[in-house]
Amino acid sequence: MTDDIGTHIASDEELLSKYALGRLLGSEQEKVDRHTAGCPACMEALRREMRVAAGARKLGREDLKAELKRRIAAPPVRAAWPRIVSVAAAISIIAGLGVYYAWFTGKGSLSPPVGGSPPLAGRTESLKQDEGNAPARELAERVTAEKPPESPAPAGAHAAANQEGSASHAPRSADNNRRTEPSRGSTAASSGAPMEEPGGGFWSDGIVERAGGALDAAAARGGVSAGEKNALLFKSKALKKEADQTKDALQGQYLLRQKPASALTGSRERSGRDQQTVPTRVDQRGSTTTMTLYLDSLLDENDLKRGRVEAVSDDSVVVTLGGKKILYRFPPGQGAQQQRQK
Amino acid sequence: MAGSPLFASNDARILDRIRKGDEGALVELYRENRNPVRALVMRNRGTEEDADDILQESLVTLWERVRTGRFHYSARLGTFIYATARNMWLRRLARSRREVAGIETDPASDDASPLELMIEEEEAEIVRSALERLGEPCRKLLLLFYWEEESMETIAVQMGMANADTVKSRKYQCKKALEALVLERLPRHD
Repeated sequence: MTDDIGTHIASDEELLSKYALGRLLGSEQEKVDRHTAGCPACMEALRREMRVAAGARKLGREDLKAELKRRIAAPPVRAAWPRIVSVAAAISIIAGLGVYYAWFTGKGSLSPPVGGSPPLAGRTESLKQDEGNAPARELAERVTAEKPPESPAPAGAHAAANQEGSASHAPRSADNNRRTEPSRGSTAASSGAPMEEPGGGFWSDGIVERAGGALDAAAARGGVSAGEKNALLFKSKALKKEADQTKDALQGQYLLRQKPASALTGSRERSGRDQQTVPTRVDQRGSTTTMTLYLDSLLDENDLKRGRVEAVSDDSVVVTLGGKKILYRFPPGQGAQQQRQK
Repeated sequence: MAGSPLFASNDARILDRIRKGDEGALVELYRENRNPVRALVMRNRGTEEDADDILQESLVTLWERVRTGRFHYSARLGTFIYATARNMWLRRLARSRREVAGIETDPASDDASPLELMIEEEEAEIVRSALERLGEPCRKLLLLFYWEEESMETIAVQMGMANADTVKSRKYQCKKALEALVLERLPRHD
């Protein structure tokens, strides 16, 4: 051996891999090139390593391309009419019950309906003003359940683009910065990262586990990789389909609720569908954290009651529901820390 | 060239999604870039199916570069995708010995890496096929290492192995098994 590598690189797995993945600095790569020029065994080992890397990349590309084709071929819009009709029916029933209760008990400010119903908005507003009528007030809250606001444009996005544009062409290091932490306030629907809102609540997209154990591993290191995301696809078929209506289940300090995905605004619904996540609204009310899951097919009420919520870190929460685990990202400090306080 | 703030903001959002492993970002890019790429390919002796295939290949290239930290492009994403698709199509045309008139390859945006240039396509296909036959968990481990380019520590967590040393040892065994499958089909180089 006449160069400064000092040993046969044929036995240095790490060096071979770094070379094949293009992770060596220019000077290091030159040393390897000089060495292999005079070492046929090392040249052959390097060639084998590069062959494996090339084959794995080819397979990875094909897997991704197949996934892309599958997503492109998926029908872009679900049939809207059955959903619209069922939601309208649920609203009518709930509103009707509210009106009936207020009228029957005589506690509400409504007059008995004569010659047809008053406008829905007027009715719900009246119910909300009736402080002494708790059931009616609750019903009114459900009727006026928020239409989630659209997500604002991510702050600093332009700066991020400029950073991308001005990035240098220096060779990659072993620990490249591609595994960046999800930026707080970026598009929640795309990443499972929470989107805080002025009212104190926030949105978080739950990622549903398909393969056992993958979610725990993801939670343990605080993030979900592309490979895991493939394994965590939402399987709505596993959920029992029921009538579209809001259902609640109190579990410890967490109140789990579910609503039909059709109650979401268009962009958030599309985002949840495209990325196969569960858009969820999280609100803190007194000592109770309410998590409202927007689902294509509603769970059986007993499943909902059996649901478990577990904070696994200070910004990650896992909900076990209907035989599935769903991972959520919360704003820093609102996961485990919140649970400890309780 | 930074482009307009509107485009830059949208591009940054898309890049952020890709970095986080969100394949839905590629679907969005596909829909945004389908028409210009179709126009390019169909002007140059291709079909709609050719155009869609080339666009998908371009998007996979973008994904790979972003995820491995090799994406250093200062123009709009749409420009990168168009240039990549154009070069891929020209190479495909050249390979099929068809004549191309009026447009030239832009070497600056060529998407072929040194690795791709060095390794024969045929060999890569043999390894790919062998990886398919290798079965789990070796297939997953080798893909995590060579395609996702995850660290040994991360692979250990993802695959439920004790530590990085266990992964190294397992990777070595998997490569040996893979090599045996490859040698069955690979022509001898003497």
